[in-house]
Amino acid sequence: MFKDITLGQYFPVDSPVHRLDPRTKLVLLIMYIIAVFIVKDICVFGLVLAFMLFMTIMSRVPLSYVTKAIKPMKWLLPIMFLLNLFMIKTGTPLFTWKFISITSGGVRQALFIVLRLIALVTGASLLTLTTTPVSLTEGLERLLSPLKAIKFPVHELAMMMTIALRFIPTLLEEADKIMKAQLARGADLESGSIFRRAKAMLPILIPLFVNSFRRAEELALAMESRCYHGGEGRTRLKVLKFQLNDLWALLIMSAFFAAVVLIQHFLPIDSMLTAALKRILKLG
Amino acid sequence: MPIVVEHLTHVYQSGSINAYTALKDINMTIEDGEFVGLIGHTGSGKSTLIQQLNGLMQPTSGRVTVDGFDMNDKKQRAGGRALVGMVFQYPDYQLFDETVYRDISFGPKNLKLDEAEIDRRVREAMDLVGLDFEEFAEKSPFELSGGEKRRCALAGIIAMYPKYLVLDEPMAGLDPSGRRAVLEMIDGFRKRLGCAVVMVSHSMDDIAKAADKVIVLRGGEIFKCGTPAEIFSLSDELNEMGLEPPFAARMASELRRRGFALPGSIYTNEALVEALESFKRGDKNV
Ligand SMILES: Nc1ncnc2c1ncn2[C@@H]1O[C@H](COP(=O)(O)OP(=O)(O)O)[C@@H](O)[C@H]1O
Ligand SMILES: [Mg+2]
Repeated sequence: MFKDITLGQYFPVDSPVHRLDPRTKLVLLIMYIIAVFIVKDICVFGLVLAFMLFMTIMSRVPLSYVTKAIKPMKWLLPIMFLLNLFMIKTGTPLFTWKFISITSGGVRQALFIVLRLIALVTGASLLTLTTTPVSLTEGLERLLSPLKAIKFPVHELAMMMTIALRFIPTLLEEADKIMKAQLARGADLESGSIFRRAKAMLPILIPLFVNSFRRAEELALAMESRCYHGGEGRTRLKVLKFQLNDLWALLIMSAFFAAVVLIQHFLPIDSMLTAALKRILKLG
Repeated sequence: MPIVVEHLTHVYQSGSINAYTALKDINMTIEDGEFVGLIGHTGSGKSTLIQQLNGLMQPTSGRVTVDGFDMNDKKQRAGGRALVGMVFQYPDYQLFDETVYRDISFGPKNLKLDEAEIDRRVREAMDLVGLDFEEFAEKSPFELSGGEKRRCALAGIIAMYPKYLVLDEPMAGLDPSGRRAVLEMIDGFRKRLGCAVVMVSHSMDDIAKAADKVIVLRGGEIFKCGTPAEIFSLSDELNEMGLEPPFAARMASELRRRGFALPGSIYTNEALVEALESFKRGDKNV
């Protein structure tokens, strides 16, 4: 049952997006996230989603894989939508019934929350689908390396992240095996009060922790016996290099970013639309 | 009543692009008190198959019935599971409690037995696996050596008095004397509890020594099911599958190839020795 979790799963195909430098991809993601938050008009959001679609097509990752990331939010999204729909009381009221009222501001806000969450999650998942965990952390380490000047342990952090990402599938698999071993001994994980169920998890959590600690110790020994001593003076087998592709990607991203900002500032599409809508409604 | 497997098919990640058919249309029966050896190349589906026997995995299609309990039915599953004891390859997946005593009593406690009965069973199980009660009962299971952990894990299953004992490569990573010890232990439980045993093993010698029936899996299908004599006479097919027949069978077929008229059903060391001795006596009618 743990096998269904797809966390930071890499989708191994060759594409222009896969070949980008991880630093470029991180910068792209950051710019994309900023763009998602700048957008204030529903129509401009079409541009954001179109850009996302464009990147997905370029990456040769099936769209269904990218959207899979939304699945864990299948409860969160409707709740956020409904909360915003009923709680926000700005704009013109559209519908009132007893104490319940829906306003145009509420509809807008509710739509926005959902669209933003979808845009953010799919963006982040496209990054992990097209970048191996190792090159992702390497990119992060290089991007953050200026922080070394203020004694921030950038290398250690990146190494910890690499190891953590590497062991997530192992841990899930192990949890599955332990759970089976205890179920076979008649462990009852599903009935009883919350307190009882938490206690029933102990036979699974204890071996999981014990094995993890043992593995961590073995890993540390294996690293030390190969002379690992932290980041100082450590060189890379494959040195990251910017390529022409990265330049193109950054240019395209900048164009998209500029388009979002410009449209947002000089073309108030939404207010034009609402004005038109109001005129039509009044006429009707 | 036996364990009956009917038309069992198992597909991993069914419905996705990674769908993988690990078992195809498996039919087999495990009779009361029988010792069944399950062999096959790595990846042939042995572990997948035996996890179906106590409902830890459910078939994609087909059915497993344990003494009449339908393992596809959530309500009946617990009843069937209580009859099937399952020992996994690594004891580290199972040991968790503060002391060996408490860890072994975890299973019996889940069966809702009374204190006195649990105590009796824990002592008996420790005796059967050769863990001295005075020395080990109050030790932490995490302080044990590899071999002792394995014994402790076995005892935890034995104490549940399974009617069917299922073992997935219980001897992996053990030296020859450790392997012999495990085999002897299994023999001990069978004598004491009269349980049936299903054992996955890569050691054909061990299977030849202990099994009443051998099932050979190949690519998720039952390639052949029969007595050890029937199975180990197919040395060419076994070799082709990457399975090495028992030493005695290989030796006998090599001798036969060089012109010694040995009988065809030799697969244990004892039978080989006997055949060679009668050969030496000049008795040509072996
Ligand atoms: N959780 C899983 N998801 C997908 N495929 C699996 C999974 N577990 C096992 N398999 C595949 O099923 C096949 C049979 O595996 P298994 O039953 O473990 O074989 P064996 O125990 O004979 O070595 C293997 O090819 C393996 O790769
Ligand atoms: Mg296996």
